Amino acid sequence: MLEIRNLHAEIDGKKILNGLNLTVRAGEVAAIMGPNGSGKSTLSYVIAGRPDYEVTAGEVLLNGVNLLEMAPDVRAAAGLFLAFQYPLEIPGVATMTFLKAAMNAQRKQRGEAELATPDFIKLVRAQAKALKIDPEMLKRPLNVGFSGGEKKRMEILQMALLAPKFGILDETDSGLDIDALKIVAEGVNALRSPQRGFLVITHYQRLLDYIKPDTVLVMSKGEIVKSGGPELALELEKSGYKDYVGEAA
Amino acid sequence: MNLILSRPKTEAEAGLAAQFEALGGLNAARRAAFAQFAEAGLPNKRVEAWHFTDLRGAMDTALPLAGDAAGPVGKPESLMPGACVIALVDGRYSPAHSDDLPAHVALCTDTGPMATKDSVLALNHAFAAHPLHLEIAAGCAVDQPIHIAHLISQGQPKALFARVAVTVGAGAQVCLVESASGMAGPHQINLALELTLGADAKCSHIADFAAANSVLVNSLSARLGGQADLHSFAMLSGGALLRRQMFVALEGEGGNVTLNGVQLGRGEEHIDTSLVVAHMAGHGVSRETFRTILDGEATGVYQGKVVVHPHAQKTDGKMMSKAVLLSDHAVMDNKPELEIFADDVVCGHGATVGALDEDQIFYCAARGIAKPEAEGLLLQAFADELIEALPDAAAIPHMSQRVADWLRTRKDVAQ
Ligand SMILES: Nc1ncnc2c1ncn2[C@@H]1O[C@H](COP(=O)(O)OP(=O)(O)OP(=O)(O)O)[C@@H](O)[C@H]1O
Ligand SMILES: [Mg+2]
Repeated sequence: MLEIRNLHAEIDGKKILNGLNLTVRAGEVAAIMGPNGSGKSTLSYVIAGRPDYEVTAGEVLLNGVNLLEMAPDVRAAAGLFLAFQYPLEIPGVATMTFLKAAMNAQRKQRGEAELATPDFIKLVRAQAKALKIDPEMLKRPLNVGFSGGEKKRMEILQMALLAPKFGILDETDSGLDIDALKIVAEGVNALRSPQRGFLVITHYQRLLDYIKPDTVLVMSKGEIVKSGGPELALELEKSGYKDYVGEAA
Repeated sequence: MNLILSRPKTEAEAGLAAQFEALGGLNAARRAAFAQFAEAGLPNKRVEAWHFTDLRGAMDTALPLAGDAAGPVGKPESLMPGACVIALVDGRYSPAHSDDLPAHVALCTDTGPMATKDSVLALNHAFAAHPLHLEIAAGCAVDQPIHIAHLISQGQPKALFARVAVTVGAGAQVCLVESASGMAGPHQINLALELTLGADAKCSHIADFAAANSVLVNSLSARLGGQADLHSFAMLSGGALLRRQMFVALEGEGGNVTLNGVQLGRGEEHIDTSLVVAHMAGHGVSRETFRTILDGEATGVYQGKVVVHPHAQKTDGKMMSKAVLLSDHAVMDNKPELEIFADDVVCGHGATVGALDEDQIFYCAARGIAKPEAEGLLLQAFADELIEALPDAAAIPHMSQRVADWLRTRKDVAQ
């Protein structure tokens, strides 16, 4: 489903991704762990198409289609979703307005009709309830003044509404309290399906207790240096990255 | 009168002088006003208050004076539902295009002199042949908004001078709407509104100026009595040159003035908001907040001066101008100034100019919202933040729609 081959990317002349290879099959969840600064967010941004990164080599294929040739909004409409490590504040734009704009923009790109407002509202209400998001919050400008945890929950709400083919979660667990972590994990698990894949970036094995990964990948210095099953996360929790960071140097 | 000009008159200045002579038999006040104009001439960037706006350069000639509604006249756009329209066609009150006045509002044509230092306002006083004066009776709240609609009859490009004075009696309340529509010419338009607010009077003023390809200068002069409250908002768009200038004096204790506005410029348009707020008595509050969006090669100006006189203790003044540039060729000139002669005051100002935040646009894109739509969303929100602060909620949809229309036509305009 998602295939990354020999991906090289840099920002401001600094090489961050150095020939990264990675495959996530449909229906699977791959977890990426790795030290600070190893390039995990960079990878997620490059997949999503953030303009400041320059891809110097490689391919990113979603169901066989090269994402790198598409504008970021086209990638989203093609079914890619990135839950940001640091969700942006969008001043003055009510959350509801933003959600509707996003859903309809994607539908338009796919040649589908706009959602009728009552249907839209019903959909948002139901998802917000499942994620225990206060409906009052949906009237506020998106993410403005939201707490760290509220922002993360809002990312998952967006993912649930946009129902992507492939979701990337960049440290969605950081900033969440214990209860919120469970709620968010349930939200993600509800979206798991044989057609959908996920890349879950995290520093903590705890998240993976709730969202059970099929593979765990270790990233260091812009490369995947180790892959294994869920037990790898437990092992990393105990012994850290010292065994892996050296290998990539 | 002997005037020794250190420079020859421009063609436009000479034309204005000839037109004024031809009017003949005018009263002393109008002749004095013209003399004041003639001495200064059309302002250019050497005049401090016009430092960023060259009216002299923008007026090649003096266009023929708008006469008695020679051509057909359009209908004023409805800005606020249920407003009482008072139409001025080619600068003259036209009952045929107007509604009946609401209770407590009286009309008289005698406009007392209001002194000005501005030569363009003096020019208005000299040429405005039919000033209109409205009086709101003391202690009365006018329940219908009063919409002063400036209309121009179709036909050749012309010069339009219109002057309106509104006296709001002590304790009275009124909502004034002011608009200039159908201004595609290119015309030369000079509009003046003079507000006198008695003690405890309250006036909300909502203006909409779409200058199209014309040169339009609009002057708002206001004097506030004790505890009087003025809230003025203006939407400015278009204009070979569009300038809104405001001269506000808080003469009584505890006056409260809010001056807000949104400026939308594209192509080679030049849009200027300049204001002087004078705190002449204590405990006054002034707030000036402006939002400007510029595309293409447009120029925007915000020049604001808050003057606190020595007796105006406990003055509270804040100015803020924010501009978003959508193109590398657009220019915003910000010049907020404070002149404080009292010691116990709280005053501040700020100004920002920048592009839209690329990270926010990427975030929108990552949700499927393409760049033009994302920009539209962010810009609408930028303007709406001020529009939604309008005390008269009924005017919000129109103003918000003005921004939406401008944004929608953005991509149609060749930059
Ligand atoms: N504009 C930039 N110029 C130079 N270096 C940059 C720039 N942006 C990011 N980097 C560097 O790229 C590297 C990778 O950053 P990235 O955010 O991808 O790491 P990460 O693995 O997500 O880390 P964390 O676990 O802390 O979130 C870091 O060393 C960072 O300093
Ligand atoms: Mg990161």
